[in-house]
Amino acid sequence: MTTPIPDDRSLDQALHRWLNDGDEPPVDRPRQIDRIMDHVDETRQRHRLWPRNPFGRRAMHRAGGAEASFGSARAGVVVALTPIKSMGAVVALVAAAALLVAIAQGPATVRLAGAVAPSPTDEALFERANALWSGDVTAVTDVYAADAVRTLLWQDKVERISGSDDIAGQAQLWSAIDRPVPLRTRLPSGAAGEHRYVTVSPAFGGVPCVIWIEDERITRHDCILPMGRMDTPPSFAPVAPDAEVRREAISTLNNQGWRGDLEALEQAASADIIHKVAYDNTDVTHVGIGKYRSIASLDLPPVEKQMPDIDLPAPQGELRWANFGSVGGGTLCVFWAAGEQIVRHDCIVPTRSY
Amino acid sequence: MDDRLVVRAQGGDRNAFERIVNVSFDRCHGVAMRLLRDSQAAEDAVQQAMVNIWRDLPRLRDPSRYDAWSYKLLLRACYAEYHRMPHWMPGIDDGVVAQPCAGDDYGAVVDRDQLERGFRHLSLEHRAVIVLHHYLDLPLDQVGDVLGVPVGTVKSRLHRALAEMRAVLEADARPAAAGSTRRPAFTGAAVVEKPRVIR
Repeated sequence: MTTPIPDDRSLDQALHRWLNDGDEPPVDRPRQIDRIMDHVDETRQRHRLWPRNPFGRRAMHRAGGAEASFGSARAGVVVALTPIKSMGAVVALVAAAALLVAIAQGPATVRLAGAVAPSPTDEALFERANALWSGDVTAVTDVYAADAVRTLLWQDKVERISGSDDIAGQAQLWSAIDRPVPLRTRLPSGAAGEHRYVTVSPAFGGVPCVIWIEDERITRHDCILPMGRMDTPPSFAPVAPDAEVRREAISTLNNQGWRGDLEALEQAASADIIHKVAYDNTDVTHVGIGKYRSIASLDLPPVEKQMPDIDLPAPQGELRWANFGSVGGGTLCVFWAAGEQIVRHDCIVPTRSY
Repeated sequence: MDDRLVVRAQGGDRNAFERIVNVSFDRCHGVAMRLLRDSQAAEDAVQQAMVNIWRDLPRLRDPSRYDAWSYKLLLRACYAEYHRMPHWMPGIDDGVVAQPCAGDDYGAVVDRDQLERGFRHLSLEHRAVIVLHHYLDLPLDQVGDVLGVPVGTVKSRLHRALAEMRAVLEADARPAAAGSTRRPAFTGAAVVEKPRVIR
């Protein structure tokens, strides 16, 4: 006796019927909706973390190779921003964010083929980035042209990229901005062997970045980060609760299916190697800059499994959440917001030796 | 979803959002239930999704895209809930079946059980494609929009998901073919309401 197995069409039909069979609301529907609305009442909407003009209150965040020579930036040094004025209102744009650093031991450097200073080509790149946001090109180039460019340097030991074409071919990103954005859009390249892409990192809910790649290494990135004045001063948690928040973030991420090694992450999250930036409208303060440590076991989730924001406990009037960003190949960040502005982030940046 | 309701909710109108919840709850619950196969987990996922929708609604730039956007957040909540769930599968032990009767209700239950078990074998990504396409009746391009993947990826996932389902069903069929008295194999007949013939 043989048992028939349905053909694809039958299986399609069977699945369709099965899935639509008995589609009745739960018996305690009213209770569930009441419960949802109770939680809604306790939840603040994230107003104005992204202003309508996304570039009106932002500054550029850049990171380049060790040969980068914009401003006075050097490895491991963060340069204060000059306030920027946008059309009309005085927006004391400021401080930005930053990433990586530390090059304590003079590693080999990667020479950038393109100049780090703004150039017409760069502006074209950012027009592309801006197009992803349907934002104001003028505002972007104003920001870009000003001294408000934060230059940080990538070490030579950063994320290894396995084949530039693989990047371009990747799927689309779960982006917190409201439409799918190509994970990485290839841009006109500079010198031979150099590739440039524009991407959108989910950090902050979506940060347009231009990534430079040379010899399968990220050698520089320029990102547009959200900036803004704080109407209320931040009240950063003291160190101890800070650690508690970080543990919770890591634990939550693991609970949500992140396959990384918790122990390695906890080790990475130790005080001296976490990247912290506190920023307000006038300056940037790095807290506890330290060297990075390899996280060999870092196993980033596939793009489509990018984690949603994870809410963390926060004092009244503040917001905290953890998020995975794609910059650097995957960055675990905890964000603070006060006065409806992001005021600080702590990130664990993966580094790998190769 | 009514754009005006969405705009009002974006502005913090709680009543408007409550109406949105009322309108979309059954559909969202249906999706979560089918993805997670667990009523408690589905309830938690829908609750979390709705709270996230409320929280992030001001970021939604185009109210007309509310449905796709909300499904995206719902799926994320389901993913999160799924990873919190204990991963064991309660089998529906129908005992030893000597001779399933043709065309009776029992056969239909068993078929559903087989579909259930086949479906549970799928990864959540594959389940999501099937549920979005077969339950919500979204065309493939919209499935891709919700999942944030190209249409080609949606097609390949759908294909792989059905292939995995078939593999499970075929595995079920083998004991029966060997004269086993275990569950009858899925034929699709009971679900598509055709007479079931067992010789």
